[in-house]
Amino acid sequence: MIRRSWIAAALPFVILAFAPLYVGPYYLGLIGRFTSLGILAMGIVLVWGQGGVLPLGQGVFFGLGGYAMAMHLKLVALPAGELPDFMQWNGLEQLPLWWKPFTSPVLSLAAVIVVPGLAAGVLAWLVFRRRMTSVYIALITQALALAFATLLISQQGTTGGFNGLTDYTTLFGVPLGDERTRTWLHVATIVLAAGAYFFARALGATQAGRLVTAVRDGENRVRFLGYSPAPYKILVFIIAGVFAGIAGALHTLHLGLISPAMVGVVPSIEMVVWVAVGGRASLYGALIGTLLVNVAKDSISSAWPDAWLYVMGLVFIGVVIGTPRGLAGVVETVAARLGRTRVVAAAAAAAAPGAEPIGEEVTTHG
Amino acid sequence: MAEPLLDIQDLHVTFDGFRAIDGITLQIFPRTARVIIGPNGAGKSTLLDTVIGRTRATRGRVVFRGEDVTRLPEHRIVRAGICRKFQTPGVLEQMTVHDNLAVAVRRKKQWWAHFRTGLEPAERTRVDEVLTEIGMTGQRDRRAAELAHGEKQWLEIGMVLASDAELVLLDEPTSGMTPAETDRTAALIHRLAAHHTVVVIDHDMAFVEKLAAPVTVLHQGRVLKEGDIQTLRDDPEVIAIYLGRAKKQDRAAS
Repeated sequence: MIRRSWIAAALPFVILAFAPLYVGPYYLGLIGRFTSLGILAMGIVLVWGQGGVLPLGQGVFFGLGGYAMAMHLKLVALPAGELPDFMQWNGLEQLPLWWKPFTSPVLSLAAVIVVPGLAAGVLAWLVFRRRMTSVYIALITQALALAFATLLISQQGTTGGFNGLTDYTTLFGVPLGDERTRTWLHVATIVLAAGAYFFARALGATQAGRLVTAVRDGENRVRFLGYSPAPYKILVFIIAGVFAGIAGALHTLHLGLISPAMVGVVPSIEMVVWVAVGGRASLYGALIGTLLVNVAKDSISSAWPDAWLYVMGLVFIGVVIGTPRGLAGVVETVAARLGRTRVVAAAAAAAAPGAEPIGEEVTTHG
Repeated sequence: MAEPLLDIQDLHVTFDGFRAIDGITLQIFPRTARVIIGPNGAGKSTLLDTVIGRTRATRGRVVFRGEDVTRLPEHRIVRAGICRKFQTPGVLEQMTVHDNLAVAVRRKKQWWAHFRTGLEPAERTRVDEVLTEIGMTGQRDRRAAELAHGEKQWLEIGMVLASDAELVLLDEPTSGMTPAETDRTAALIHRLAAHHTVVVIDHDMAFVEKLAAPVTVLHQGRVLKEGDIQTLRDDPEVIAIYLGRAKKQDRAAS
């Protein structure tokens, strides 16, 4: 039974991986970008849905991963010995020391994982060791997102400032715009998303995963059973940070741009909205929520640019009041009402929504 | 005389100038039961809170098995062998009865020992034993949130049992229970006392009588009297501060 539900969960990823065969380049790009963001969303499920701590600064870790990737892409696009354009405009004569490791592709890829993971770990260690409550952590992470975006903008000479980093040409020696590169990038994105999904799911099945939920429901009870609650929260926070970093790097590759506008306060809140819409306790729900909200954003903001923020706000309020467990909660309720057994309902909740909306999106647009 | 298992030495706890515990000295010996009674605000719960590290002593020491645990982090005190049941049932609502006990039964409490999915065979046996002991085998797979209040209380007692702590602290284990449930709980605590050292706080005099254990009466953060319940019932001082008040309330109520 368990094995069958894992196969059912893998199926949508397989279908998505073959998307280059049945959708055009524009929508392929969208699927790639939104699936990257879905990896970040699954991290929020771990921290918020399972751990009960609302993170309002995931944009920071997204940005750390994204900038690590972008710095490398920027450097390999240069003729030997030249500085990136924005550094020249700002009168820099030498590559700053902390840019140097990013000439190496291996170090850059390592940085995509290690830097956000380390940052998330240090932050989590500080706040959870001091037993801060969820509200304060939400505020602190929010402030961090603001500080991070402000720092990036203010240090124009070394970060590209408000414009961010763009104009990439090659990745590992192959041209980025090439159709075959796009296909492989797409497949890599889906594989990483599937990997993140199964990793998170396997973690949830371990005792550590159960303790994450136990700490959410009764931190004191767990503490007075002899456990120190902090390590479990730090653990999911680090995993969410790494997920966000990977998402940032992939998103940068798909979009060809990273800028402070993608890592600040508003984007960080948007990330939470994706998960709230899809269902904060469900990994698949978060993936679906990310896809739906971003498809809506893409179509609404191209037709009517000013409306998006209001629409998103209304959707968020609606979800919080109407269905706190998001779309995944609606699906579970409906499945339970249909009178099936619990096991079948859980399997359906994991598999069905994955196949339907993605398939719909693909066929109607493509 | 044997070494005391728990040795509370001249304990003081002050909250913003209010002396919640004002010099309590108390010794609990291995494999004995002790009941602590006293009116509201006498310091009963604060005393247990301080033993378990939830509240910190302003003066005095808590010594457990010869080790000073006064300043240890909470989880270390628990790992030393003390487990506490709270007044309001502190079960993990979103988890099943079985999973609640599974969290409690784990012997290795360090986070790095938790990347497996199942329990050790000995731990699995122990969970089944505890389920039988608290009479909840049939509710194994129910979510704790769905349980009745009395069942939650038993589940939490079960979690304390599953932890195999040497010293078990029970804070009002019968609060909100029907008389029949209270009787069942008294029988459960009797069996518990065979293998553990038990300290019980309660208000319910009928229940305290059933436990048939030495009683310590607290009043205004101090030990007022110690003795058996039959003697204490007739003690004028105890009647004045505790039973008398209850009787007055009874009369006012009727």
